[in-house]
Amino acid sequence: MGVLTFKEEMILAAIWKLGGSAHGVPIRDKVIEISRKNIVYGTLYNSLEYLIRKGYVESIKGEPTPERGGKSKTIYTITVSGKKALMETKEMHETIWQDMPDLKPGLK
Amino acid sequence: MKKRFKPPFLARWLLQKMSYYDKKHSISGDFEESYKAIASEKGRFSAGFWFWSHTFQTLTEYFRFSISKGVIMFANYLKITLRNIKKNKSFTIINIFGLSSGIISCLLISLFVMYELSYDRFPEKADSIYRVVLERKYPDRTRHWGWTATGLADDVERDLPEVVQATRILNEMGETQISYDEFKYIEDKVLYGEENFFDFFPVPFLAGDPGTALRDKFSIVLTEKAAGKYFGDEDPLGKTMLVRNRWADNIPHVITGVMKEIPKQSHFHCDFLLSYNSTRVSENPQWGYWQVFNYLLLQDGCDPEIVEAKFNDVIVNRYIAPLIVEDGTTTFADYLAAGNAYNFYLQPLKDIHLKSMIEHELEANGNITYVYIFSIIAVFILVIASINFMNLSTARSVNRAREIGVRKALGSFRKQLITQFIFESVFMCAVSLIIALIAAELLLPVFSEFTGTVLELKYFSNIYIIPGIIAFTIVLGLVSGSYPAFFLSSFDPVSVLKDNSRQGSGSRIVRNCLVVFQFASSISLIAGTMIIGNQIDFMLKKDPGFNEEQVLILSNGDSIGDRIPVFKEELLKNSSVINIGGSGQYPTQATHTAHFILMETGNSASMYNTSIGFDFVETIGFDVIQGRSFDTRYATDSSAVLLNETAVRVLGISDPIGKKFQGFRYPITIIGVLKDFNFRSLHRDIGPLVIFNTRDRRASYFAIRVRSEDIRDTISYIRNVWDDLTGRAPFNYTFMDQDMENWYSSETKTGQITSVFSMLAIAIGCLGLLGLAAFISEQRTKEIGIRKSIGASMWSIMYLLSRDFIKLVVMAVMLAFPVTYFIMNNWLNNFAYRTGISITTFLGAGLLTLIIAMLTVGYQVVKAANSDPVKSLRYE
Repeated sequence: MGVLTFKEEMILAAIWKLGGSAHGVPIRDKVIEISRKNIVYGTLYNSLEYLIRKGYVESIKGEPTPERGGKSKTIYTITVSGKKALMETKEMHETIWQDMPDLKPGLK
Repeated sequence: MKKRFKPPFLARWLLQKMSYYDKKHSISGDFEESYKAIASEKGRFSAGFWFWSHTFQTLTEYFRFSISKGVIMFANYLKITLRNIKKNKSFTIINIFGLSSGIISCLLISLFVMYELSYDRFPEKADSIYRVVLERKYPDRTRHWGWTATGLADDVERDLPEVVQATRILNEMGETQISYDEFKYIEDKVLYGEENFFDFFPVPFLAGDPGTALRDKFSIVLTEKAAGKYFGDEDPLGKTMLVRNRWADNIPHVITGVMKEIPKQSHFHCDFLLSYNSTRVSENPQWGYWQVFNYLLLQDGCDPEIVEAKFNDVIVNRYIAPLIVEDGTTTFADYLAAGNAYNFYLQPLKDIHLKSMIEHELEANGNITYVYIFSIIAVFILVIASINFMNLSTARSVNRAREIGVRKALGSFRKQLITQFIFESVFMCAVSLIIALIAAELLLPVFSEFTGTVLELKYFSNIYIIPGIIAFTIVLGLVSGSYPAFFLSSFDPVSVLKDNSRQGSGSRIVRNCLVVFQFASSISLIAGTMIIGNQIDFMLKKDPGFNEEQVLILSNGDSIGDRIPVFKEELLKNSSVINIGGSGQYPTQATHTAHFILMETGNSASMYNTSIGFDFVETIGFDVIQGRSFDTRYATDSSAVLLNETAVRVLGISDPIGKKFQGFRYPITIIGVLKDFNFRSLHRDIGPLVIFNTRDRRASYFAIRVRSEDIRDTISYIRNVWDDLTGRAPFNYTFMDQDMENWYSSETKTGQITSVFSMLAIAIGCLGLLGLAAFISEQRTKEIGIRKSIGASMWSIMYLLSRDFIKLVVMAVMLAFPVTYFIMNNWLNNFAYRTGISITTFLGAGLLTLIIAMLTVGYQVVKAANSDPVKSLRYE
């Protein structure tokens, strides 16, 4: 199984935090909230494009809403394997941080 | 309220342009939603700013995405292409082999043509340098002279303001013996040039100063190669060499410079360049002595026609007219009215190599007709190869009809199919091109040697070459792939999957047209090759009017001096030597002309003249048709001349024997008339000729007729006699028949090149035919099976299958005839003596093509006709 990049991990996490499915605007907002950094839609789409190809995310067209000026929206839903990938990434992080000596004393 | 919150129009338009994002990810909606949120929070302006900046950043992301998507698509097309190539190995090999040999041929020929087209480009001022030549009209004929007057350069430079500088080049017609220490050689590449020679032709110097090297009398400049031959590693500058020719009798010349070789692409070459001031003609420049080449440097951008006009107005009247009216018998106007004319014209330096076809060239030139012929061949071969490619792809495409049907049924777009086919074809072209470039690189040395040129593939010499090659590949791929691509992708999946037999018929007409064109080109090439071959044969076999076989030519005859009778006597002691005669010019050649006036009638004509010694007529085997030849027994023969038939005709006299020419120190009597013989190559007609008697006092050449057996011994005998008499002067001999073959070396070369490439064209064409035949018999497998099962014989099936091909070849012959006739007739007109073009040549070429085609098709046809009907009917 492929390892997720940090960006992909954040996007998957954002979707999961948004309840497992969401469209572009809340995902972006969530990612900015998590990473405290700005992200452009293009970057978001390219990562999503990769996640879709890998089968971690599915996209369907949603109904247009008035606040979007009558434009349609695409809703991204995390898949079972997407969830698995997220979980494995989490486990990996935990392994990395396990038995980690305290970092702070070394800092001056 | 709502209107105020509309995001910027232009940015929205940009977003929509990123169609993939819009379709897959609803980009417009996401942007508008975020925009509205920001606008209501921070105001319109910061929202607008956000919208713009994010649009641009997204745009760069979109580009990145598109490129990676393109790579993926490319990989996909490549995968399918490779799969197809693997599935049809033999087809692919035929296709790529055919195309790459086409490209190789075209490439090599183009290089050769480019080489021929880029002569005399090394002088910086090449565009403003012209050579003065003369169209001399006589009442009965016209001649073009390369040699012009020795006085021309000075007078023209002074009289015409357009002329910046003029320079003379004199080529030593005889041989020059140059010696240094014990090194003594006969040199034939010797030219005389003026002080400003290097202003016109800037050949780089290794030592010495080009500005002054040729200024002083008896100075000599030699090339690096010649310096190595005489001096080895020594420094030649300042040393003296002894020069012996008609201008100098072992006079010491001081070496004032060593230059690099004159570039190969120059209309003249020399190993030694001597100061023009050393010659007698330089002392007294005059208009009556025509033996130098005059080159003019005109002012920048000056129209040569203006200078030509001035020449024919000012110069002719000022300098030529006085010469004509000198003896007071006629006025210049009357002279012109009688049909005489002096029309000077200027040849651009760059055109001399290919377009100058005049007398006394410095060297055998190229010929623009050959450049045309070769260019046509190159285009033909490439077209044949491309047609092959198209034909094979189209033919095979029918077998792929099902693949297309399935892919279409599975939802492939037509655009994708077209892209796939074009991609395959461009890919094959690229592979062929790479193979061709590698092969051309390997073949180049062989081809260079074959054509006597120095060709190089210089990819970086010109910024257009690499883009040109890439563009060429893509265009060829597009053109060859377009027909199958558009034709195939238009298949209706339903009918294709139901039944595929009908699909071939639509393309058959196009395919047949292409085959006809291909064969017409091949037939033209074969016929052209045959015609060139015929002409060469004709020239080599035409009786020149003497017997050139078993004749040995000794040059450097001047070394014998006046001991010619002794030399002859000694040689004739050997029974293998049949006869020997001396001559002033290379035997049977005559390059100089003079004006002759008959004493009795006043008839006059300008005629070629040469000189021969006693026994020369007998040695060479001229036919004496009137009177007799020179004979030692008659003392009066010292002032006797021989004429040829043409001279008698030009003079307009019926009884020439005993008539005298005036204007010489003593009257000269005509004692005999020789049957016309070709004293020049057959490119030119036979001119009027007067032959003087050298009285065996001096000879530059000896013609020796020897018996065919033990030639080696005979030559060593001659050499011994020679060494005894001359004190080991350089001994150079050639065989006359070989020398005469060299007159036609340019034609022989053309003949060889065309035959090689027309064989290639045929081979490429047949490759295509092979593929086509295989395809057609495969298509008709079922039909053949049924025919056989109801009792058709093998022969009838073979007839059935080959009938179509024969029809195509016959059509091709009819198409090829007029085109080839036109081109080749044009070429043959270069020769004063030419063969005709007979219809049998075309029938022969057609038959040959037909036979080759049948042999190619035959294999497939026999295989199909012999096949077991049970198997073929089970084919489904």
